[in-house]
Amino acid sequence: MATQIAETSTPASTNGTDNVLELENVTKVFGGGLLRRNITIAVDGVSLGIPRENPGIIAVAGESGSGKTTLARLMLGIIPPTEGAIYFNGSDISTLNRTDRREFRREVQPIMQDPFEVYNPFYKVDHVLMSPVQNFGLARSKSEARDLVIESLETVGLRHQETLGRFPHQLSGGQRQRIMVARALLLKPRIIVADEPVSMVDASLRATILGSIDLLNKELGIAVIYITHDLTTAFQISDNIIVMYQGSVVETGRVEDVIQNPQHPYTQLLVESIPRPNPSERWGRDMASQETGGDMTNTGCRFAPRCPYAMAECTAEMPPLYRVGDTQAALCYLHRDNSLGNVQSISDVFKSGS
Amino acid sequence: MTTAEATTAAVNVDIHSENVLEVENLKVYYDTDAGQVKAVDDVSFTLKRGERMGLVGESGSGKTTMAMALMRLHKPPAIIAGGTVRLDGLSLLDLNEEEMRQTRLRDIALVPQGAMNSLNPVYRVRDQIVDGIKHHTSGDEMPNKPVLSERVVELLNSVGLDGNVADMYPHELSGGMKQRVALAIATSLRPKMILADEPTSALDVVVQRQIMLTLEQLQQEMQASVLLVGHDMGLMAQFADVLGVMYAGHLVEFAPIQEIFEDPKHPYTKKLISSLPDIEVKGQFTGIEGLPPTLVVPPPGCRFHPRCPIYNDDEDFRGEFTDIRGQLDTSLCTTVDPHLNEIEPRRWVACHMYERSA
Repeated sequence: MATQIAETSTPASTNGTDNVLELENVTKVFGGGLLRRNITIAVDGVSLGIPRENPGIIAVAGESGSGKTTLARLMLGIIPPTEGAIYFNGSDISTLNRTDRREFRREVQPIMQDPFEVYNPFYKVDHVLMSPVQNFGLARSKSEARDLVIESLETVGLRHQETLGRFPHQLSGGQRQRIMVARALLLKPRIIVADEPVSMVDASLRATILGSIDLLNKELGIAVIYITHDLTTAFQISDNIIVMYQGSVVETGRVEDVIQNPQHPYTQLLVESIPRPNPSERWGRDMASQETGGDMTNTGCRFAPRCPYAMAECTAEMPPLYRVGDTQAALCYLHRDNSLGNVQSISDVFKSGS
Repeated sequence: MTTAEATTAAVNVDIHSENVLEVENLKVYYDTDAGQVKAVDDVSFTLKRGERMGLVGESGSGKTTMAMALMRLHKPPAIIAGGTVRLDGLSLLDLNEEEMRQTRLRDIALVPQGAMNSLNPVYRVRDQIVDGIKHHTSGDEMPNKPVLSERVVELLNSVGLDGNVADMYPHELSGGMKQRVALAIATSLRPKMILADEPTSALDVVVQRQIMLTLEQLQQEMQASVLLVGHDMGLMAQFADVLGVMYAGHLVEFAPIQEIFEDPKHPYTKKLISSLPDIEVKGQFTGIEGLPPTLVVPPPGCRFHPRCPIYNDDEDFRGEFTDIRGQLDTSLCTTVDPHLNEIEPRRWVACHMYERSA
């Protein structure tokens, strides 16, 4: 668990004011305890700052079980870190007072993965849109509240006549998800953490939703954490990317660098496996290495058991995050000799948002 | 009795035809409080032996309803309101329930959307594979236990799993492994046709690639045809030989995959392909304007006309279609539902722009 990133991370106090949200050596471990010997390190020593100015869009990519959703939940304050700390406007979120906590809850908004789980089936969908308006006093009158809601519905491509007044089961998964985006838009937060916001939506609507998320970032300067398993949409909308594998950040940096010139063997495998929309560019017939179960007893690189380049040291000790370019870093011993130094906070290799 | 009837049906088989699946004017409707929904309206296409067909469309376009109706697994209140489905000459819509049940898995097998939910959590993998074989094999042909056991291991190996997976329960398997078990079950009786409904939608790209390559290998080895239902054009480009595009209950285009990507004919397909994001160029991320129509009251004439770049004379599309649009009587678009016509061999399109040349 104690990686190089952890040992050298800077204290939050030095740059806490430049960042809206800051993760300092955050680790989340599930399981363990007296009776359970199996532990899962869902997030392993992540340091990351989200700047106040030009925050851009950060994609967090990885397969299921990579820890990307856990990272999202940590950022939202839904679960506390096992080790490390998360700072909001310079204060540790575990010690926020009531007012600051409320502020944090409004400023950092989620768009969750499963639009089936977040609704109470007994309430009409109006409830999920109206309650934030009421709770945070966004409108002075009922009609103003309604106008706000209608406007945000239209931004995500929904007709209010076909959504308001309905129950969740009367809407499709895509519609429900867009309502969640609309809900996040209502509060005009500083950070949106969107966990697979388009995985249950059609390609044509995907562009609409991602387009509106992009607009929020570009026009309103809202930072967006876009959690996804889809590297293509990550490439299209984000400025920077974090690639995770079994809890570790294996590669990170400017999205063009990471996707078009991946340096970690896992990222290379991911990029190679993207189903390219071109029938003349088909996948290699060689079977990619088989998935393995998470073996958390391995103290070294998590990808080593599947890695075609694995060396003896890979399974012995976790490599540090080597800087391989101005805006790119990889957690892999292959880069030990050409490394430009070790990266402390992931955001050190980020290109600033446009 | 079953065999006798199957033989009668087999008389109609045209032995010169290499078509395995022939769908003609298939209609699947369902009644709702708001009125009758024509979820699948007059869909026709043919699939050759060993051919892999992709079927794409937005949710609500009818692609899953259509695929399920081919196996007569459509859920009520959906009813097949007309048309024919022939599998190797056998008219599936004329079979009785028991015959249809026998035909499923043996001749036409399904790889379901979420294998996570299709496997029974309280039975070992072995029992679930054997179950399928038992229920589709008549008494005297039923292999004995050791042979069955061997068969299970063979099947698991064929999908890239170790034989010891047979003794595991579904919860002990990863998502990819469960989907492989589903593939093993679907191919256990060497069907003529495999129907796969978004088989990899819940899996990550690396596992998706492995599963699709495994499916391809099995299908080629068995010379089975595949209908892959989905919405990922990238996956279709990787896997399919021919592609069908559905829009609002209609099949609007059907063509070989290479041709449809290089030269899509229907404006909807054109938009679909030009709006595909890739990892080469940034900022090519656009959608198709407008929303899919409600099927209770579909737009009059061509169902795509409210969003059609040709009908609406969209600037971006003008150049390419200037000549052909000049000849187009756009009043047809709002009044007459276009037919699916074969404008070139194996190139079918339902659009008034091409009616002339048909």
